[in-house]
Amino acid sequence: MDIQKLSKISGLKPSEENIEKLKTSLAGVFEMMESIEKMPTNHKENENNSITLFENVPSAMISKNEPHIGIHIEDGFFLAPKVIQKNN
Amino acid sequence: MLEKKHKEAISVKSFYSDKLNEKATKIRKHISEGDSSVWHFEKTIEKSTEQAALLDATPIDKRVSMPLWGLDYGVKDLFSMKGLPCTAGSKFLQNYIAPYNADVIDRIAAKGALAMGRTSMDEFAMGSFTNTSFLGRTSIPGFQDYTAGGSSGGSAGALRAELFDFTIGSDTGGSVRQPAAFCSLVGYKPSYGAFSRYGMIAYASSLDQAGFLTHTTQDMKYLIDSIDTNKDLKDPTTTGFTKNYQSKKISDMTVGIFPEIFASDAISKEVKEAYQTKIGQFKDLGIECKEVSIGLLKDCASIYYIIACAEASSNLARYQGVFFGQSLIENQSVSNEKDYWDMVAKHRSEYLGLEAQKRIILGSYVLSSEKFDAIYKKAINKRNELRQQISDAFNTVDYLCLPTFPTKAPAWDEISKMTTQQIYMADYLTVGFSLAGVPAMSVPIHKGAFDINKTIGMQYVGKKMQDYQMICDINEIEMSM
Repeated sequence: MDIQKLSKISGLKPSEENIEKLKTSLAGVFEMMESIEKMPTNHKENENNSITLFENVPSAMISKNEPHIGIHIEDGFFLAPKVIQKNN
Repeated sequence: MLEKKHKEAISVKSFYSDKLNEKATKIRKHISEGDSSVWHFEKTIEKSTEQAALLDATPIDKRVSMPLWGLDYGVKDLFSMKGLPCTAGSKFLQNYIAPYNADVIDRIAAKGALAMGRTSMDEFAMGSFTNTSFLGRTSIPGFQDYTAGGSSGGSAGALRAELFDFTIGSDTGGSVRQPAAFCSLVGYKPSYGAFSRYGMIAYASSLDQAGFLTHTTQDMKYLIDSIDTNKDLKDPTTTGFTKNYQSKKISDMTVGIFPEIFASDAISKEVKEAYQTKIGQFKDLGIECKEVSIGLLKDCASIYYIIACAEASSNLARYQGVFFGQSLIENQSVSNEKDYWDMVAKHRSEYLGLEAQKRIILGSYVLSSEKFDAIYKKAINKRNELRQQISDAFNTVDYLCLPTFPTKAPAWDEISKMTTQQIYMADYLTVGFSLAGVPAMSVPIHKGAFDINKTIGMQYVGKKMQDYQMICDINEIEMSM
C-alpha cells in the first residue's frame, strides 16, 4: 500500500521513520478491511447511522419556514445549510 | 453505596469543601506514586473548589431533592467543561480550554454532584489500552504492569482507586465496557441516542456515546435513576429514553448465550471458564439460557474499523492548526494553496499521535474513490445486516450475554507483542453492539476484593432504547448471584 500517497490525501506528512512504522503496522489492517470485499451482500438499503435518519429528529428541529434549521431535501438530495457571512 | 453516601452527606454543612481537601490529598498522592488516571489536577482544583463552595451553600431541604448531592465524579478528558482543559489526549488540544459544558455534565451537575477531576484516555478515544495519548499510558492503580483498558482507562483506573464516587467515559466500540472489565467495575454503554453527544469531542459520530462507570449494578441504577434522560435538542440524534420498568421474575427471564465462544481460539481459557460459570449461575437462578448465534459477530471488527476510521478521518480533518488545534507558527501567513496544505500537513504530523494518524490514513483509504463502493459502502450494508441479526436474536431472548473481552487485563509486555491487527480484532466482542446502537453493560465476574487474575467482565446486551429495563433487570440478576 502506498502510505505516502494515502498520507498526502489525509493531510499528513509523516517522517521517514513514521512511514516505515505505519507500513509495518497497517499491512495486516488493510488486509482485514479488504476481507469485506469477499462477503456477500444482501442488497439491504444502505444506512450510514444506527438511527434511521428521520426516526428521532425532534419535530422542533424540522421547519419549512425556517430554512436555517432542520434537514431539507430537494430532488432526493440533502441540502447543506448555507453559511451566511455578515458584512460588518 | 451511592445512595447511602448521598444520604449521609446532605446534612453536613461544609461537606464538599471538606471532602475536596481529603480527596485532593489522596489524588496528589496517587499522582506522585505514578498513577496517571487523573490529568490536569492542579489546573482543575480551583474550579472544583469554587463549585464545592456553591454546592455547600445549597440549603438542606434543596439537597434532598438532588439525588447526587454529596457525590463526586471524574470525567473523561473529552467532555467539555466550561473553563477547564479538554485535551482528548491530543497534543493538538493541549492548551484548549472548553468554553461550555457538555450536556451530560450539565445533567449530572443539576442533580448536585461535584466534578472533581479529569480522567486519562487514548488520543481522541482511539485505542484499547490508554497508551496512545501524548500524556502517557494508564495502568490499573497498584498494578503498574497491567493496562487499565481503553479508551476510558482513566475513568476506570481512578474509580478502581476510589478517587471518585463514579466516573464518566465514552464508548465508541467498547471504551467503557472493556476498561470496566479490566478494573472489575460496572460499565454501561447506553443505546446510541440515549444521551446527548453535545460537548463531546468526536471520534466516530454514528457510534460515539457517553458512558458511565460504577462499582456495582445497584450504583449504576441509582445513578441513572438520578439523571434526566429526556432528549436534548442540541443533539438531533438524541432521543433520550423513558424510565419505564416492567417487573419480571428472574426465573421468567431468558438469556441468549453464544456456544461459539467455547469453540473460539481467540478467547482465553480463563474467559471461557468464567463464561461457563456465569451460565451456571443463570441456570441456578432459574433463568433459561438459549443458544443464539449472530452470523456477523466474527466480522464485526472489520466492519467497525472501516466505519469508525472513515468517520474519524472526517471528524479529525478540522485539526489543521488554523481554526482548530494549536499552531506551530505564531503569525500564519501563506501565499498560495500549496503552502497552506504543506503547513496543515506539518501541523497534523507534529501534533497527532501515530494511532490517530493510522486511523486517518485507514479512513482516507476506505473513502477513496477506488475503495468507496468495494469497502466503505459494503461495510455500511453489513452494518445494516448486523443490526437485523441482533434484532432477530431478541425474538426469543430478553438479553444476550457474552464476555466483554477475549482475555483478562493484559500486561504491558503482552500488549507490546501484539500487532495492530490483533489489537483491533480483539475488540470483536463489543464493537458489534456499538454498530447496532443497542445498550450494553459489562459486569465483573469476580465480586470480592480486586484480584488482578480475575479481571474479566461479562457483557449483557439489551434491546434498543430499553436501557432502563436492562439496567433494572441486570441489577436484579446480579444482586441475586
